[in-house]
Amino acid sequence: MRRINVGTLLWTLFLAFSAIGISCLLRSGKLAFYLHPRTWGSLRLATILLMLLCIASWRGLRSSNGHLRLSWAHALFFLPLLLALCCPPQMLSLEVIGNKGLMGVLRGHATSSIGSHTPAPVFAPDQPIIINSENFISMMDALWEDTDTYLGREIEMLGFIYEDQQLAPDDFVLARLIMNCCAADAQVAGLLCRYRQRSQLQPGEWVTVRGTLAKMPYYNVAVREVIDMPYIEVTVIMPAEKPDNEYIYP
Amino acid sequence: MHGQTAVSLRDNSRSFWLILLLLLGIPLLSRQLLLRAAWSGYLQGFSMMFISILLEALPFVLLGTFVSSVIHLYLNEDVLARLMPKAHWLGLSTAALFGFLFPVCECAIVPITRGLVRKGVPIGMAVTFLLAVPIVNPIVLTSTFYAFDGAWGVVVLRASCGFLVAVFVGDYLGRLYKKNYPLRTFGFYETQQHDHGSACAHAQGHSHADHLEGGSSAVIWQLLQHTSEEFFEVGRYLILGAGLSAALQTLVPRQCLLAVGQNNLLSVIAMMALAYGLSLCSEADAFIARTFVGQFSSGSILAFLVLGPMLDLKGTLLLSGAFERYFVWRLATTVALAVLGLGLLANAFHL
Repeated sequence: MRRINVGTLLWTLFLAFSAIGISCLLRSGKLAFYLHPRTWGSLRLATILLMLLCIASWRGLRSSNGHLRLSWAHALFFLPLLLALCCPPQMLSLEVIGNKGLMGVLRGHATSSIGSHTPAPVFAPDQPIIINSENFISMMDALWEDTDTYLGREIEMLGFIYEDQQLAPDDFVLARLIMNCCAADAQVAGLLCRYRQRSQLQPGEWVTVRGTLAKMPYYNVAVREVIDMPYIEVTVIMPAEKPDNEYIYP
Repeated sequence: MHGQTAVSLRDNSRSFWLILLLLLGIPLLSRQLLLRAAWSGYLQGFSMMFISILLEALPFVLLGTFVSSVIHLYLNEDVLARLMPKAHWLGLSTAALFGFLFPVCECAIVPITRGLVRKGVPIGMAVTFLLAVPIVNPIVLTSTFYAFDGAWGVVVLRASCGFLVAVFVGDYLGRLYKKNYPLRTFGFYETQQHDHGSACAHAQGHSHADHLEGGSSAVIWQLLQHTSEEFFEVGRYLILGAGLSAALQTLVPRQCLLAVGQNNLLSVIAMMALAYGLSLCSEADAFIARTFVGQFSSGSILAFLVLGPMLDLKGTLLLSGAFERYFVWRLATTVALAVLGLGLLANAFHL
């Protein structure tokens, strides 16, 4: 009887595990922590191809051809699988978000670059403006572009607390993460908030902020002039549940 | 056959223990790290970015290895040679515009280019194809159009600069490697058991369609098996590249680049380093580039948009798996210098 080639066996196992792993992520929807839903279709096809490759590799296991030599590469292939098991999918940690910096937040047109051109929803004058995952991008655009229209309006927004050393002691950013393609290119976007008791807030905590919309002059390096920056003068902060989708997918 | 396999097993026993050690060690280590609050954030962030880059690239790398296997097994050199334009510049331009017919991004392009070179496509055309297709293609240009709020100027500049650099570098390297093909032999071809032996490793290989036997199902299984083996060779470089890029993004704050934003030379170099290190998919990189507008000189943003799809950390590792190291080094430095020149030029004219 011919002995089984260990290299090919490990490779077959890798193909099987990765196909199963991706299918689980797709089925549970947890893939949203890694990839924009737009890209899931191609990943479905890739999973089917992985399964076919797994069968092909399995068939080669006992035949005389198609033997893979055992090498360091085998260990490398199992690394992402093990990491995925050890660190369950969740939103990027604050440490890493901090590395990406505030670039996208405190500038005019923070989000208008995304290419979604849905018009901002209209709120009746006596109703508070409610910003949620669905209207986040269109509302950010609207607030930056027509700041004056919304001045003094009551506003309610869900986000997580994001702090940065560049900010004044009373300020924090009520932030969301925007995923253009995958988690590695996620960017912070949000609104600056001014709150007396900021020190009581825990970075990364999900909250609903209620307050009034105000503006302050801000030197925008993009257009090299001082522009109006919208911000929330906070009245109440309430702890909130994480949304189902912590990312925003333009 | 029995004896041969047994020998190869003994040779491999060291790697076997190494693999076992890693398989047991990594979960234990990460468990420990996760328990320490200071480290867990970084490990978690690294793991999320690492896996997301892999998942993002996986369909395209698989597509690349699949197409490359089809080329390898079924494409006839004579047909290919007849189809290729004979005139030098026409050939290069055709290769550079091929992305309109065949819009793939930078992960898929490396195995395909390798497959083409193995079938006798001249290095010059192959390099132009490799560099241009991930930029000069409808999908990438459309996403650039959206990212820059419909600014046609950026789209046209990105496409034309990509075209120029690709043709220039293709022409240069084509002259250097006229006769000798800088291909690396894939590891699995060295094993005696492989079905078509070492002939595959040579550029002047023959079409395997001639001697494929059996029914259509046998043909399909052979194609899949070849794809699996090629994916085994290419995948390791993808994992290395994704890991390095994720580690870079976990450990180095982007803020430290900001200081040089408006300096004519340094800003271009900083943005090129960023494009290289981030290894973004060329469909998404324009959205990231957009966030630098205003803080960085326009030349540096152009350099980011042109260099990223042509040359990045992930791509360099994929390339070094397919081609000789020295060739990859030459390719990388030539591309980098050309893009640097274009960036400085754009800054000089205040585009």
